Amino acid sequence: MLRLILILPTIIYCIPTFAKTIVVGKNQSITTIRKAVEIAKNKDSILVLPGIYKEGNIVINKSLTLAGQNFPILDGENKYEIFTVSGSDITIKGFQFQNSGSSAMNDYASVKVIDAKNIFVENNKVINAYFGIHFSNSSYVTIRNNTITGSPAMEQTTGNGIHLWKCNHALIENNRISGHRDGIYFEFVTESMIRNNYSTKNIRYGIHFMFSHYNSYFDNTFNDNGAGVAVMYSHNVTMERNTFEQNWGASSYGILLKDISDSRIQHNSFLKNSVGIHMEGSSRIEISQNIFKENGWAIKVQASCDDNNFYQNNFYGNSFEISTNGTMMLNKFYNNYWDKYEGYDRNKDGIGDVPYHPVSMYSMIVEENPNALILLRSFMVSLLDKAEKAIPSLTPENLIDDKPMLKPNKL
Amino acid sequence: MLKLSKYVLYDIVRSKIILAYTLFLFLVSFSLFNMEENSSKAIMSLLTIILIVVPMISMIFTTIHYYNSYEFIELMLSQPMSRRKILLSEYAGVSVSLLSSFLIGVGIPILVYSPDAIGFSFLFTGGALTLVFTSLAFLTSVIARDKARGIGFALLLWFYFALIYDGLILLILFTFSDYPLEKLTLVLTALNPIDLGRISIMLKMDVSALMGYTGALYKDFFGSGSGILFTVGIMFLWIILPLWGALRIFKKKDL
Amino acid sequence: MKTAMITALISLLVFASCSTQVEPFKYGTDICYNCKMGIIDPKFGGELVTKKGKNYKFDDVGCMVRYLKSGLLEQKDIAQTAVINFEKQNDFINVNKAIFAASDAIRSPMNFNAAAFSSKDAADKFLADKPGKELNWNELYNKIE
Repeated sequence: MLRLILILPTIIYCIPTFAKTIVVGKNQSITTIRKAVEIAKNKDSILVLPGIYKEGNIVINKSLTLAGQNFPILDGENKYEIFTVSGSDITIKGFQFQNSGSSAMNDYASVKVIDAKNIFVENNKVINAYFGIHFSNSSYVTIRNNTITGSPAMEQTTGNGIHLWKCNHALIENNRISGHRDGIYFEFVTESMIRNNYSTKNIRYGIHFMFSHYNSYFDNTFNDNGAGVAVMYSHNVTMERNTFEQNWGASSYGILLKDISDSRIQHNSFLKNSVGIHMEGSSRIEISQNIFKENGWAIKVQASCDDNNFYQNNFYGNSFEISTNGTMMLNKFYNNYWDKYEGYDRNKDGIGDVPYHPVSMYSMIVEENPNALILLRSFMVSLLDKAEKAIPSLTPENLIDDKPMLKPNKL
Repeated sequence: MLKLSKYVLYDIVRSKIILAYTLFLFLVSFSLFNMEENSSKAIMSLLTIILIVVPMISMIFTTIHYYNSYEFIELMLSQPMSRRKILLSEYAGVSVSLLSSFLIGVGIPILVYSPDAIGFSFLFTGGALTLVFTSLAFLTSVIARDKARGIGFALLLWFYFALIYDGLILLILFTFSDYPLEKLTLVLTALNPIDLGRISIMLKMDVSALMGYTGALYKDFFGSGSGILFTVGIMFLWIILPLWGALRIFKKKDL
Repeated sequence: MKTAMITALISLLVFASCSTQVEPFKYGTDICYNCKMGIIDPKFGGELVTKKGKNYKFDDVGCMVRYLKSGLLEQKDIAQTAVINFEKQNDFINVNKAIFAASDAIRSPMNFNAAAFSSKDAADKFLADKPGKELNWNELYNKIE
């Protein structure tokens, strides 16, 4: 009897949680998602069968699992935001969202989540959206395996692929984002992780951090975006094992760092970018074990940067290796491999005996007066660089690698 | 006139210097294409060499040739031929030999390794530079009285276009750095055939992205049809004007 | 003779190119002079033109104010200070004629959250259903640190 009394409350508690599944489809009793959401109770599932659904804006504020079978198409007819979600424990998976509307004032999205917790958005396709997936004021969210394709024809009127504002503990992985303003945008987002995403042909940045601290992104590939990643006004950002390639254009970067501190950039590859890393107002950043290959500038360090360490990186075939606009240098360079190094190693310890000056005279001139780039590859420029190499006078004398490696670092 | 040009040409080829020049160009371009991992890098390195060597050789060779054939020219003057025709045949002979040297020495490797738009504009630029500096050399030779002064003058002019001019541009850029200078640099660089050649080729290549905002402006301009016409036109003026000047002086000159 | 010609040519070009007009933004290409971010949002931005004809573009009016406050450019050298009309892309308004709406309902690229309007009516209309207040250029300038 005592045992029964103990068990009974549990049973009673469990009964209402027997979740049911509501099926939505052309030939089902329920034909619209709106209706299904209306009659569903917390913890129910809604299964949407293949078809085209044009239902305008659907508001979801119960703990539901919405799953699409074979990617049913939800069409916003270029007018509506498709899903507006708030609450907790909501999963949205297996849909194809298309043609969600755009508006100058509201950030319309295919899936917009506001004031929510424990949200999963996975395995969806988002086509031709203004904003793709938009979260604000939410925590513990997972955005996984989505393909988000914007239409680049819209140019400056396109929003971000995945947009997070005031969120924390987000996990964003295995997404493929193209044709948006920023692939992934973080503003006031903390303790979140972005991994294994592929971001390409976005108009501005692959990932963009603003005022977002304690985040990390790794194993992502950024290819042919306006610029790779912009990390601005943030601290404690970890950037590892990412590939930045072909960010090639007049104002393009692999990474743009602006007012960043206490961060790490390690084991990344920078291939064929106009500028590998551009840093301004950045301090206490560890930049190590990266590969810089065939970039216009490997690293641009503005004079406003201090206490950064650059070590065990490998530099190959960059037009300019390091450039700076100041004469003081408060950053350390050591144990990097520079393919242009011409020194010797008498004690055979693998470290060159002569320090290496990675800043060329011409790069200083160009930093001061960008119009001088028009003399790139001219006879005069090569003479200037040779002269400066022989008798250094204008380049910052303490910007040197005093322990340059003779062979590339093993990474 | 044709006969005279032919004779000049025959004379030049016999001297073997032109053959050495051809061989040099051929070896340099061939080895660069083999050394560098891709053809655009090779073109870039080749460009650096060509922009120095072609104007220099064209000027010096032309000047030396002119003074060496001074007696021959005097002899021709005693014949019933106009001075204009004599000088033009000399010009034709020298420029045809230098041009064919270039087209063989650099053209064959380019046709083999990089037969694309970049390759052809490279050949155009090199060819135009040959003609421009041959014209300029004729002008200086006609002005200067003796050989030493003529060669000195030619070298100075080469030095000016290859180096000093760019230095002056840099000076202007720094002096007037408070002003928007994008358009000014565009005009200034276009006034030097060497710079014009360098930029028109570089803008066709990936490296142009490094030229930043100015580069983008240039690309808009030089990439357009009128930009191409402009390049060709300026090069053409650089060929015609010095030659025209040389003819005028030569006609009146007391030899 | 040649030097004289070159000098004449240069001075001609320098002064001929000395227009103090605002230059329209090339979205997706231009970058903000202060924060280095690509300019892409057509609703926000500002531009300074110096008396010598140099243009400085900004993606957010806040970036422009910060740059002005940095003192890198002296007030006496500036010919024009203009902001983008919130309602129309690449439509520049002189800052002294603009009315700014500061509201948290606005998300500007650098989070200064102020929009510029060409008239008080337009700003009133915009703020009718939103929290926030109207500012003139001086008030906005002093508000941004």
